[in-house]
Amino acid sequence: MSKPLTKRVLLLNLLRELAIKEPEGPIEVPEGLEGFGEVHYNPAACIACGKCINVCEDDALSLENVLDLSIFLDPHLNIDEIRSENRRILVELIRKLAKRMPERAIIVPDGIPGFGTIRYKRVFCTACKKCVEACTEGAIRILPIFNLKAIFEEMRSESR
Amino acid sequence: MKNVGVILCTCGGTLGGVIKFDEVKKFAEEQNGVVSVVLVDKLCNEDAKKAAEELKGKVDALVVLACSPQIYGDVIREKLGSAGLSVPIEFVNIREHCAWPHKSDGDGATRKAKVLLAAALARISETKGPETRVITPKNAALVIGGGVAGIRAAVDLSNAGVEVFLVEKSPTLGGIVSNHVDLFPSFKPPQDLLKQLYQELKETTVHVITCAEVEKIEGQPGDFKVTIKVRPRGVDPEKCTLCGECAKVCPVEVPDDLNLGLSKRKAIYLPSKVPYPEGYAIDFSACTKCGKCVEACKQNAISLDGEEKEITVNVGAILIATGMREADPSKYAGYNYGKIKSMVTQFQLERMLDPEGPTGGKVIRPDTGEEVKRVLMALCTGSRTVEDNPYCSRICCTYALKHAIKLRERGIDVIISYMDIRSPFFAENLYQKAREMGVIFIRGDLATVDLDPETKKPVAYLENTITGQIMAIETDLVVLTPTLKPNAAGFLKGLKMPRKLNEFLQSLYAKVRPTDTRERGIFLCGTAYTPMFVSDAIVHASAAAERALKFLRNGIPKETYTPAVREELCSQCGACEEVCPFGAPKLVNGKPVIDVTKCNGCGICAALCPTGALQLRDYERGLLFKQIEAVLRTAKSLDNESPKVIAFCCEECAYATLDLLGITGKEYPSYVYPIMLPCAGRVSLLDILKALAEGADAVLVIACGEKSCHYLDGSVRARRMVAFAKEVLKELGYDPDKLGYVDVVSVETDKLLNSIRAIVDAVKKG
Repeated sequence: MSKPLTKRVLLLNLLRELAIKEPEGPIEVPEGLEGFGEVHYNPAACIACGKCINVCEDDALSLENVLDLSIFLDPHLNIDEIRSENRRILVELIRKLAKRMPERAIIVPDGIPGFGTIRYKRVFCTACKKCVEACTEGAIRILPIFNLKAIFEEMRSESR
Repeated sequence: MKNVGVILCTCGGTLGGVIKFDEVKKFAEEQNGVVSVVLVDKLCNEDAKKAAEELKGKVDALVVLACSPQIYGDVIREKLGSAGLSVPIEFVNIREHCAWPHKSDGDGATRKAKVLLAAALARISETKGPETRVITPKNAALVIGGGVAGIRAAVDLSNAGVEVFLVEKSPTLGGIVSNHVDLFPSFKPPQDLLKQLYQELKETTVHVITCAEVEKIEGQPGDFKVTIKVRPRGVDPEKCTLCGECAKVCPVEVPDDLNLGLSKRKAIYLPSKVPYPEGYAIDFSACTKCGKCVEACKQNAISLDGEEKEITVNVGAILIATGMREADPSKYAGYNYGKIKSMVTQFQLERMLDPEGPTGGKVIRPDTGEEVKRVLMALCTGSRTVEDNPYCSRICCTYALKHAIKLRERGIDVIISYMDIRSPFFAENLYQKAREMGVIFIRGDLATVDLDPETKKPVAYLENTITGQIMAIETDLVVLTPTLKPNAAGFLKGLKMPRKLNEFLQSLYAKVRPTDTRERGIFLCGTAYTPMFVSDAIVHASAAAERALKFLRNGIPKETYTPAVREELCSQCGACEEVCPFGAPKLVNGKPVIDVTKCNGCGICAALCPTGALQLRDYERGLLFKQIEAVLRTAKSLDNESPKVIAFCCEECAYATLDLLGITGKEYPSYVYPIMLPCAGRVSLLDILKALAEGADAVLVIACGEKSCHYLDGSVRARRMVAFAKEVLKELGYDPDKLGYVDVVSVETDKLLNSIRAIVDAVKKG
């Protein structure tokens, strides 16, 4: 990690030192406590405009030019949660057309705006909610959980 | 709900052999919203009135099943309009897109006509028509080229109250005509004609700018900004009295390029027998600025320190009257023109036949100066060739006959080697006269010319194409008749000014718009368009002036299809700003605002808008979906067996190339259904998927040539969109070969045919 050690990273390093066992699952963040939470991202609703990335002061978000079509075929996907009219139609068309479950994500060529996938790093996120405010599509929410298990995994994979 | 009228045109009864009109008529009558169906034979002609009478007052929209709207759409619209029927029209091209390319599949062509009719009905029920703005052009015109055509057009426009700038490259008006001894076929001196035109010109307020060349044309129709480079003339024609004292003292002599180099002229010279403006001019490329002429001139008319300057004129219309020239025959191998000096072109012979010309009217061998006794004239030098110029230059046979007669009058023997003699109308008299005067005609093909090593005379080798005999004809002088080529017009670079195969400029439509061009507000005038006789060039010039005048008077009804923004959907992502080729959308306070003066209505922004907030007027996603549904559902209900291919095609080159497939009779399956869009860049992933979801077996996107896309990057955008859609389809379990993209400039019929075949093959593969 090339970033300077922020207060958040110092805290996480400390927690890792203190840990005597692997955290098991997410902890609920009590109401009123700021600074902790986890981004919940709905890739089916995301139009890859990048506004969330622009407002994120922690550099926790980035955009990758890939699109996993299987998200549109997920039976749990609620079309009503998608704001973009074009995207809702796309989901309907893909559901009508699909002969099989897509196996791999496709690369979005340059010059095709509207498609891509947001990548999220829990380690940097301070749950400031600026991304939520910036997103016109309702594709980002902050869940009141502190997922130490996932954070530790992220830290381990980064240091590898 | 609109009351729709349907007009079916049989194209003079010619399409009836393929399309079953009674079936199509019945089908049309059964469709929702159709209140009347009229069957006519010639909608582009007298039948327009008949159809209009029948439908007037009954309908508020029309579907016209006729020929290509790119070719006759405007004419039909005008004719119906002037007969009192001005309602929105949706065209279905049953000629170039149905009857002609499917002539051996009458059932298929009939089905396709019905399917496209259903789609047109779906479309016209919702279209709003363009937003219309009227731009008032500046009441000024620029005529480029001061030959007879240019002068005629300038005078006509000026007399109609237009401010006219007439720009001429050389120091005098008159063009190619001014260096002729006599016109043909009339044998009248062109100077009389020129004097008459000059007199008319003097009575106008035309700004004549000689020694000037157009550098570049910028701006828009109705408001062109033209940069003109003006060279110094050296002599003020207002003061010059044509006394000629200056030329007498000028020490610099240069070969007179107009006179074969047989004579010389001074650096200060009279540029024509009848110059306009009336004055000498200095050739500054030869002048040593010794100052002797300045001393000799009693009128103080000469100045040696003029500098080249640039001027800009602001005009509403431009007329191109840049004229023509003989091609350089040295590029035609075999004739040895340039190597053998006893060989001239018809124009060079013209100069020799001028009593005031370099030889005093004597016909001589340029190399020895001997008077000529026997001449061989070869026609069609570089014309009617198989390779690069398969055309006749129209006027050269008559030109050669005129010279043959004049040579016979001087007692010179003349042999003409010809392919065919094409001397139209009264020029036929010249041919008869030449025969009577003893001109020998050999139907022959000149192969090569050599010098006889002993006599040093040129020997022409030709094949007599009647007897098959190879002939060697020794003569004193060989006269070539080079094909005619347009003069250079570099200022047209960057404008959409296509040229014909013979290099002359193309008009919008040869038959109905022979002076208009693709560039609105720019007109063709005289021999810049095609070789013609002087009298025809003058008619053409007057016609061009009339068209320009109509344009300047009526203004530009600029019809725009601008995208609308649905703010409630907009995510303010800025994609529209990023993708527009013309910079029309701008985010203002986070909201997109479209600048209508910049928008060209291509729909690229709408295709790439992630949310659907931008919808191009009359090409909205919903409307396009309805057209797709209408095509596929109708096709299925009429014939469940045949496959169905949707071809999204831009209404520019893609549509024209599809037309050309019909025109050239190149057949392809009738189940390829075109859906027209302003630009291929308007095609989105959704449109492609929609077509497949509605049962299309394959989709083809046909775009303009990528380098000549009318919306700059629409074709490239379409190619990327298709590549992306192919990836999507592959992941969903489809054969990506069932989606195709092709870019064509409007002559590339084979390229288009190949891509249609590739798609059809993929469909057949299953």
